[in-house]
Amino acid sequence: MFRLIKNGEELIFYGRFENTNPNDYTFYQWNCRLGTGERDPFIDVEAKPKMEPLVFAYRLILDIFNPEGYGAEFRSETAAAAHSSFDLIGFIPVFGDVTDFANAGLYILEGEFKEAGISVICAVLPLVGDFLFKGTRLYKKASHIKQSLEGDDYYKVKSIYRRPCTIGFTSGGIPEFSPYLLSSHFLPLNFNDCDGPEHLIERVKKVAEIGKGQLGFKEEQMDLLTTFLMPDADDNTKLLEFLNNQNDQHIYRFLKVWDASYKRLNQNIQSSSEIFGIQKPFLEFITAPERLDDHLEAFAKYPDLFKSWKLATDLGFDEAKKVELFADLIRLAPDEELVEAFAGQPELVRAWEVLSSTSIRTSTYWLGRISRWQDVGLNFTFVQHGTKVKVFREADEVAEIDDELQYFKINFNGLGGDIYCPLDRTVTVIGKFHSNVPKQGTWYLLPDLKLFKMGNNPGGINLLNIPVGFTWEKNRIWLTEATQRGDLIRIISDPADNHTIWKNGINTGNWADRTWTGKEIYELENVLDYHFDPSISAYIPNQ
Amino acid sequence: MLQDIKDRIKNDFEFADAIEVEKIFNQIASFGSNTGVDQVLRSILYLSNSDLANVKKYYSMYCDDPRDVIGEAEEKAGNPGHWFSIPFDQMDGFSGNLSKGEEDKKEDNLPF
Repeated sequence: MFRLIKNGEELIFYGRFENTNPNDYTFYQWNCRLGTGERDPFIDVEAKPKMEPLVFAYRLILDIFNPEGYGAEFRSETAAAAHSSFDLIGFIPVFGDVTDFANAGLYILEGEFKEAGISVICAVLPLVGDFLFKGTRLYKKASHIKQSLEGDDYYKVKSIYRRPCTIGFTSGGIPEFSPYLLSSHFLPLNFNDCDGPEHLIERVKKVAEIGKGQLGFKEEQMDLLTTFLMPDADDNTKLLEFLNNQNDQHIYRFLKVWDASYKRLNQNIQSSSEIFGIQKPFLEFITAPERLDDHLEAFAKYPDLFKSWKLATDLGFDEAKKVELFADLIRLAPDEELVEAFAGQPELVRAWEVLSSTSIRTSTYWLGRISRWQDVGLNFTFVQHGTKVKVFREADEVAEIDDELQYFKINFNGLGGDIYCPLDRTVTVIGKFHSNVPKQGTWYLLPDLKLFKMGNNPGGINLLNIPVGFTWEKNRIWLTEATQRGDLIRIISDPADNHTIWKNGINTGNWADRTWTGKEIYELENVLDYHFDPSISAYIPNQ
Repeated sequence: MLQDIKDRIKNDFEFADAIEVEKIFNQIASFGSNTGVDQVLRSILYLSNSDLANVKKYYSMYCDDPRDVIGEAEEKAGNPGHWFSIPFDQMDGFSGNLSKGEEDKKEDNLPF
C-alpha cells in the first residue's frame, strides 16, 4: 500500500509494506514541506532522527527490493495492478499492441514466460488473442479478487476512519478510489482492522471528534487516542461501555485528562500500552458521574496523580480506599512536591492509609515531613494512638506526632527526657555525642536516628553536623545563628556535671581544658547572654 | 578510609597494632560523627604518638564527643587552623584557608 496524504499545510507521502501479519509492517513517511523522511515514524519517535532524502530513498529501495523483506508484497501488488491495466489497455487496437509487448516484458522480468508468451500472441494476433487468452486471464483474476474479498486476508475496508488520500493500492492489487478519500478524519492505519460492537465504534468516533474539534488534537495525538480506544481489546470494552453512557461534557473532560497525561508523560505508541494500562481504570474512576469538575481539573493539572493511582492499586487498596485517597490528594494537589511524593513513595501512601482517620490525612505540613523522612530512607511506620500518631523505627517507638496540640516529640533518655518540638520553632540541641548509646547523646539523633536538620527546622531539631572542614568558628557561628533565629536551645548533657564542661571532669579554668560542650555553654552564657533553665533543660536568653 | 590515613597507620604502628588501629578506625567510621570522620581519625593518629594505648584513649574521647578530639589535636599542633581536615602531607604547607563545607548550602526551610 502506498499513499499520498495532505495534512494541513504539509504534503506527506507515506507507504506501508505489510507482511502476511497485518500488524507486522514497515512504514515510510516523506514530508514534502520539511524535505525529510522517516521509517516507522510512530515507533521510537524520540530516538529516531529524521532521514535526509538520499538516506530515505536508499532505505526505501532496500525494503522494496529485499527478497525476504516487506517489499515483496508491495512489488507483487504493483505488478498485479500493472498487468491488469496493460491487459485492459491491450484491447485498444494498435496502441494496445504496444502495451501487450510491455506486459510481456514485465512477465519476462518476473520469470513468468508462459504469461509473457500469451501477451506476445495477443500483440501479434490482436482480436483473437485478446478475447481468447486475455479473457481467460481476466476472468481468473476477477475470481481471485472475489475470493479475496470474501476471505480474511483482504485488507478490510469496513473501517470507520481512513486517512484521506488521493491514490492507494489495497493488497488485492486493485487501485483504491473510495469515498473515504474525501474524509477529513484521522485514525491509525491498523484501526481499519478493528472489530467491535457498532455502538462502541460509533462512540470512539464521537470521542475522536470531540478530541479533534474541541481540544484541537493534532494527528499524532489522534493516533494515540484512537489506538488507546480501540475496542478490540477486552480491557478497552469496559472503558468504551463507560464512555458510551457519558455525555459530551464528560467525554470532553475525559479527553482533557487523557491529554494532560499524554503531554506530561510524553508517550509514544510503543510504550503507550503500558501507561494506558495504568490509566484505564483510573480514567474510568475520574470520569465517573459523581466526580466533580474541580476534581477533573486537578487531575488534568497534576498528571502525577495517575501514578498515585497505580501505587494505591499495587498496595492493594480497595476501591473505597482509593476514592478516599484521591479525594485527599485533590485537596493536597496545589502542593506539587507532595503530589509527586505520593506518586513515587509507597511508604508515604501506606502512611496516609494509617493516618487516614486523623487530621494529618490532609495536612500538607505533616505529609510533607513524612514524605521527606521516607525519601531519605528513614522507613518509619506509623500507628494511630487516639489523637496522636506514634512513629516507629522497626519495633522501636522513636517519636510522636500530636496534630491537635501542634507538637512533635522525639523519645529521648538524656537530660530532660523526651525532646518536644513546637511546630513554630526550631529546637537546637547541644550536648555530648555519646557514640553508640541509644537515646542519650547527639549521636542517637544524628547518625543513628537521622531525624534532624542543620539550620532552621521549625517543629524539628537543629543539630551541628559539619562533615567537611569542621572548625570551632563554624561551630560558634552555628550556635549564634540559632540564638538569632530564636531557637529553643535544649541541652541534653547536664551542665552542672563537671564532666560535661571539663575534660577529665576537672575545672582548671582554662579554655583549652573545656570540652566542646563546655565551650558552647561558655559562648551561650558569656557571649550570647543566655542562662540555663533546669525546669526545661534549656538555655534561655537573659531579658 | 583515606589513603593518607592508611599510610600513616602503616608508618606509625607495628603490623599487629596497625590492624588494631584499623579496627578502631572502622568502628568510628561506622558510628559516624557530627564532624568530618577523617578529621577525627587524623587527630587521633596525631595525638597517639604511634602508641596503640593512646589510640584507645582518644577513641574513648571520640565516643564522648568527636569535637573534643579534633580540638585537642588542633591545640597540641599549635592551632595551625587546618583542624586536621587536610591530608597529612599537606599540613606543613597549609596556607590557612579551608575549603567551604556542606554547611554553606542554602537552607530550604522545610521542616524535617
